[in-house]
Amino acid sequence: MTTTTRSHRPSGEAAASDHLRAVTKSAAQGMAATQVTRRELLAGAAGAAGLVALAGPSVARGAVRQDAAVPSGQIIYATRMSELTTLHPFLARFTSALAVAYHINEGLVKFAPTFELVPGLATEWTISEDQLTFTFTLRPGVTWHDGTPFTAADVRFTIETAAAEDSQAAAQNTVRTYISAVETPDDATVILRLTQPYSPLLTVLAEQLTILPSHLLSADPYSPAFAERPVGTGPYRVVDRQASFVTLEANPSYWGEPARVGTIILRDSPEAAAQQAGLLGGELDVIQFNPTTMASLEAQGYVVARGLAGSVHGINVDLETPLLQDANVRKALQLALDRERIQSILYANGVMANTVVSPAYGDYHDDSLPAVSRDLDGARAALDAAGWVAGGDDIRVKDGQPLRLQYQAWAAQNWQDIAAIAQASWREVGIDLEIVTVELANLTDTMSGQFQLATVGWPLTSDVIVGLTQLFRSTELTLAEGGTRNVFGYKSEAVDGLLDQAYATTDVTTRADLARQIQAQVYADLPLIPFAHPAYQLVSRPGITLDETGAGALSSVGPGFFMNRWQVTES
Amino acid sequence: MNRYLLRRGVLLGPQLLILLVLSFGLVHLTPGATGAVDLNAVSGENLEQMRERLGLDRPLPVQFADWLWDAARLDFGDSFMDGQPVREKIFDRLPATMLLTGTALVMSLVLAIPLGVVSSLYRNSSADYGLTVFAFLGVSIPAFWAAIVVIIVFGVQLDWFPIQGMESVGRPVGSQFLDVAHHLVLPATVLGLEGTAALTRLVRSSMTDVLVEDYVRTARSKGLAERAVLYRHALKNALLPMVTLVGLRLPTLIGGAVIIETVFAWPGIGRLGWESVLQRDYPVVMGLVVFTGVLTILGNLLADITYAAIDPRIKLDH
Amino acid sequence: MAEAATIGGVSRLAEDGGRSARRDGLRWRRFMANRLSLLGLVMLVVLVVGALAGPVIADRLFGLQPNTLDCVSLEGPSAAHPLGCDPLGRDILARLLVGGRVSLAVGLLVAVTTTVLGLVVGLASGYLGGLVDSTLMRFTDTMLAMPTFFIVLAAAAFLGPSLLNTILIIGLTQWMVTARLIRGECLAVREKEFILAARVSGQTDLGIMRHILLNVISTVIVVATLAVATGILTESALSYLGLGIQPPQASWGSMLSGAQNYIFVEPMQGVFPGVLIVLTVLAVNFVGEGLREALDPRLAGR
Repeated sequence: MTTTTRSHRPSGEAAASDHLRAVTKSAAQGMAATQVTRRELLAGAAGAAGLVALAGPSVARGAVRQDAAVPSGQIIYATRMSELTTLHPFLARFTSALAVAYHINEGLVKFAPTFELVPGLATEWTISEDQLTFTFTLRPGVTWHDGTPFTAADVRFTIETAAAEDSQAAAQNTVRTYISAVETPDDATVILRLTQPYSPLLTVLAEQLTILPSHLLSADPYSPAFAERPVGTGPYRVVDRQASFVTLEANPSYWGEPARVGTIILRDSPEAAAQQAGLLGGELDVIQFNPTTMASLEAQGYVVARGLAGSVHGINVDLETPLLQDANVRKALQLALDRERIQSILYANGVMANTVVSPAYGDYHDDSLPAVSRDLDGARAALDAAGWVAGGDDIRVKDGQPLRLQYQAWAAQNWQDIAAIAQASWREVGIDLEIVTVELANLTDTMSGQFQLATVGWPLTSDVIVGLTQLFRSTELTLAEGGTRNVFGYKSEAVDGLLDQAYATTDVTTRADLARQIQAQVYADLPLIPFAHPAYQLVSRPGITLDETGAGALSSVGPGFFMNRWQVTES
Repeated sequence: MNRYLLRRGVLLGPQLLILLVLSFGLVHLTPGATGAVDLNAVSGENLEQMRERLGLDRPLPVQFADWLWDAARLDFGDSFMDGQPVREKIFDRLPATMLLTGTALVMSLVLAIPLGVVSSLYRNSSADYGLTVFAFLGVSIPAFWAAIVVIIVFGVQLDWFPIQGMESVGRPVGSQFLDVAHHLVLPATVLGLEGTAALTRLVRSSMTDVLVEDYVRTARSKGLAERAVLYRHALKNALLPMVTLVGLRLPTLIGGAVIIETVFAWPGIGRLGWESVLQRDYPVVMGLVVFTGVLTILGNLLADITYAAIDPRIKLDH
Repeated sequence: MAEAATIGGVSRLAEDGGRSARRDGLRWRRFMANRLSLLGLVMLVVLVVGALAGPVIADRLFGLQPNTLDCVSLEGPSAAHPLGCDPLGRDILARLLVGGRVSLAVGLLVAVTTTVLGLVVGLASGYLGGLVDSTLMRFTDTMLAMPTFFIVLAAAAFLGPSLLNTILIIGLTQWMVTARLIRGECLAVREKEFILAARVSGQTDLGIMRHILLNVISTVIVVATLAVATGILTESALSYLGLGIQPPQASWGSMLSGAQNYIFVEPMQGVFPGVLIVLTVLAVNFVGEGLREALDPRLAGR
C-alpha cells in the first residue's frame, strides 16, 4: 500500500468477514492502493549516486543454499516487518503478508495475472450438471518445499481445518455452509460435494483455501513455527527470517513457470519518506509509493508499475438517517463533491469512479453509465427541490433546522484529506459538515452502520458477485449484528433478485450481465457515492521489471502479488 | 549507605504496583479502548464471542487480578496480532533499542561534558553564545524533522551513512560489528541530539556553580595549577549531579526512540509500541508500558545507588 | 523532547527557586541583561501577536481562508498565495497564521494543565504530609520514571485525536516536575518563621497556603515556561504519528508532518511550519532560561 497516511495502521478498507478475510483482516487493504500510510511506506529513494553501490556479488546474509536451478539476481523490496509476522495463509491479515504467502502456498486453482482462474495444484476439474459436485484431478509429481509429496490428503486436511470449530480461516463460514463432504478416492483425486449451488467456489479455492501441508500441521494447524516460515509448493520458499528482513528464494523444483529472480529480500522499511530515501540511496530496489511523488522519480529513470485495484472508494450514506433518505439530498452531495480534486490528489494513478465495480473487473464493470461531473448549480437546485433553502451564515435550513451532517473519517492522513475536501466542497452549496475522527483500528461504528456519512474503501473481492452481495444485499448483516457489510441499510428487491440469479449460474457472461444491472440500480439509488478506484503502485530502480499490470482486481491483491514475474534485467 | 539502599529498595514495591495499575488502567479504563478489540480479529466470530474469548466480559477486578498474577511472572499474554507471546516479542526487540539508546546516551555525555565545560569556562564569550544557541536549537527541533533532514543530507546526498535498519541486507559486509556501528551513526546522533543539548547546558551551569565554591577557591589560592584545579576538583564535583540526571533521561530516550526507530526502520521496542498502539494490540501495549517502566525505575535506582556510593554526603540522612 | 528542555533548569530550581521575596527590580534588570532572553521575549511577543491576530490578518489583509480549496495542489507562490498552497490546494500562509494559534494554544494550555496539577499535588503533598505525602510522591516518582510518551501515544490513540484530548494527555503526563518542586518549597517554607508566626497568630490553613504560593510562584513560572515548549513539541510528534489535532484544523505540527511525504518534491512545504516551531520553542526556552537566571539569587553578579 502506499501512500499518504500518517499512521501506519492498515489503511482502510473495510472488512468483510467470511468471504475474504484477507480483506477483512487487514481491514484495510482497500485504500491500499492509494493510501497507504506513510508509516506503511516509509521508505525510499535514491540519488543516482547510490545505485553504484549495488554492483558486486550480492548474497543475502545467512541465506542461501546454492542450487543450479535457482535463477540469479536479487531484489530488495521495502515492506513492514510488523505486517509479515505471520505468513500462514489462514492467519495473515495484511495485504502485504497475503501477497508473500501467495507465492509460498498455493490453491487448487490460481489466478493468472490477467485475473482469470487457471489450474494450480489441480490440473483440471469438472462440475456436475446440478452444480453440486466438483471433481478435481491433482497435479502429479508436486512436492512440498521439504521434499514430501503433495497428495489429496493435504487437500482434505486443509478443508477440514478451515471448517473446524477453532478455524481461523477467512473462508470458514463458506466452507461450513456450502461444502458438505470432501472425498478422496485416490491420492490424485478430490471430490467436493456442495449443499447448494455456489458459483464463487472456485474463486474461494483460489484465494482463501490455500493448501496446507498435512504432514507438518496435523498436530497444530496454526503452528507458530510454520507461521514464521511456512512450507508450501509455490515458486518461492522462505530461507531466512531476521528481525528486519525475510529472504525468499526461488523454488528450484517448482512445477510451473519458475520465478524469474533468485532472491527477493523483504526488508523492513516503515516510513514513507525514508523509503524513498532508501530507493534513492540504493538500499532498496522496489518500494510502494505515493502517487504524488512518482512523477519526479520517473523523471530520474525509476520505473513505476501500476495496477488498478478491484475496490471502490466513496462516501457511504446511511439510509436510516431521515435527512439522507431524501434522494435529492444524496444527489446534491454527489454533484457538489469535488471528486476531481480527490481523484487527482489522492488517487493520481487510479481512476475516477462512476460506478461501484472497478474497470479492473473487465466485463463486470458497467461503462455505459453516464459520467457525473461536479455541478454546483445542479446541487443547489436539488437542495432547493428538497426544501432546504438558503439560511443565515450560508448554511441551508428547513423547518428551522440547519443542514448539518456528521461525517466519520478514519484517523489516517488520506482519509482525513478526503474529509477536508468533502467539507470544503459541500460548504459551497450550504451544507455544514461535522468531521468526526475515528481510529482506524476502531471500525465498529462505521462497520455497524452507526454513521451519517463515512468514507470507506470497499474491496469487491475476487468475485464481484460476492462483493456486491456483501455491500448491497438487504439481508446482509452489519458487523454489530454478527455480519459484515451493507452498512448503508440499503434495501432493494431488484438487487436482491439479481443476486439470487447470479449465485445459481457459473456462466461468466450471464453473471457479468447481472452485475451490470445491479450497478445501474445502485447508481440510481446512491447508497454510496463513489469517487475513485485506486491503483497499486510500485517504484523500482532502473534495471528491474515488475510485470504486475492486470493484477489489480483480486480482492486481496495489492502490490507484490506477482513477485514471481519480477525480473532483474540489469544490475 | 546500607540503610539508604534498603530504604530506596523498599520504595520499589509501591512503584511497581503503581506502574501495574497505570498500565492496566490505560487500556481498561480509557473510554473507547477495549470496545475496539474488533476487526483485529474478526474472522467469523462476532464481537460478543470475541470479548468472551479474550476474557473481556469478566468484571474488571477479576481481569486485573488475573493480569497482575500473570505479570508478576512476566507473562503478558499473547499478541492479538500474531499470537506470539508478548514477552518474546519484547525480548526480541529489546537489544536493538538498548544499543540505540545506550549509544545515544554515551554520545550525549561524551559531547556534552567538554562542550559544557568550555561554555562555563568562557562564560559570555562568543563560544559560549554559540554553544548556548546550539543547545537550545537541539531541544527545539522536532525529532522527526531532524531525522528526515539528516537522512537526505548524510544518507542520500553525501551518501556517507546507511539510511535504514541495523545492518546491511542483501550485500556482503566485511565486519558485522562495523556494519552495525555504521548503521548506528545517524539514528543515535539524532536521538542523542536533544540529550546532548540539554546536558551541555547542565554541565555549564553545574560547572559554573562549582567554580565559585570555597574549595575551588582554596585550591586556587594554594597555587595549584589551573588544570589541576579544573580536573581534580571542579569537574569531578560538577559531574556528580549528572549521575541522577542520566537516570532521569532514560524515559525521554525510550520515548524518543519511538520516532527515531520508525524513521530509521530500527527494529526496536519503540516501534513495536507504536505499531501495537495502532493495531490495538493491548497485551503488547500493556506489556511494554510495564517493561519499559520497570527498566527505567531500575535505571534510576542504579543511578541513585551510584550517586550514594560516590557522594559522601548522602549516607545516613536523606 | 522537551522534557529534556526542562532538565537544565529544574534541578537547581528545586534547591533555590523562590527563596526570597521582593527583588523584582534586580531580577528584571538581570533578565534584560541576558541578550538571548531578550531576543526570546521579542520573538515570543511577535509570535503571540501573530497568532492572536492570525485569522484576522489572513482574512482581512490577504483575503485568505485556511480550509477552502482555492488553488491547485502544491501550487507555487503567487500574488494571490504568497507562500503557495499545500497538497490539497489550501493556502499555506492562511494555514500558518491560523495554525499558530493552535500550536501556541496547545503549548500554553499544556503549561496551565501541568501547573495546576503540579500545584495541587505538590501542595497537598507538602502541606498535608504523612500518608498523603508518601502516596502522592511515590506516584509522582513512578510517573517521572516512566516513558510517558508511550502512555501519551496509547491514550491519544484510544481517546481519538482532538485538540482537547491532546492538551489533556500531554498535561497529564508532564506535571511531575512541578509537583516535586512545589512540595520541596512547601517543606522548606513550612518551617520558616513567618509561617510559624502565621500559625501562632491563628491564620487559617488557606491563608498559610497563600503564603506558600507567593513564595514558590517564581519557580512555578519558570517550569511552566518550559512546559510550553514541551507541549508544542509533543503536539508535533503526535501529529507526525497521526494522533494530533483533528484535521482539517491546522497546527504547525500537523502541517510539518503533512509535508514530510512531499519532502522530495516540495521541500519548502515543511520549511515554514518547521521553522516556526523551532523559533517558538527556541524563544520559549530563551525566556525560560532568562527567568531562571534572573530568579536564581546565586547567579547574582556573575
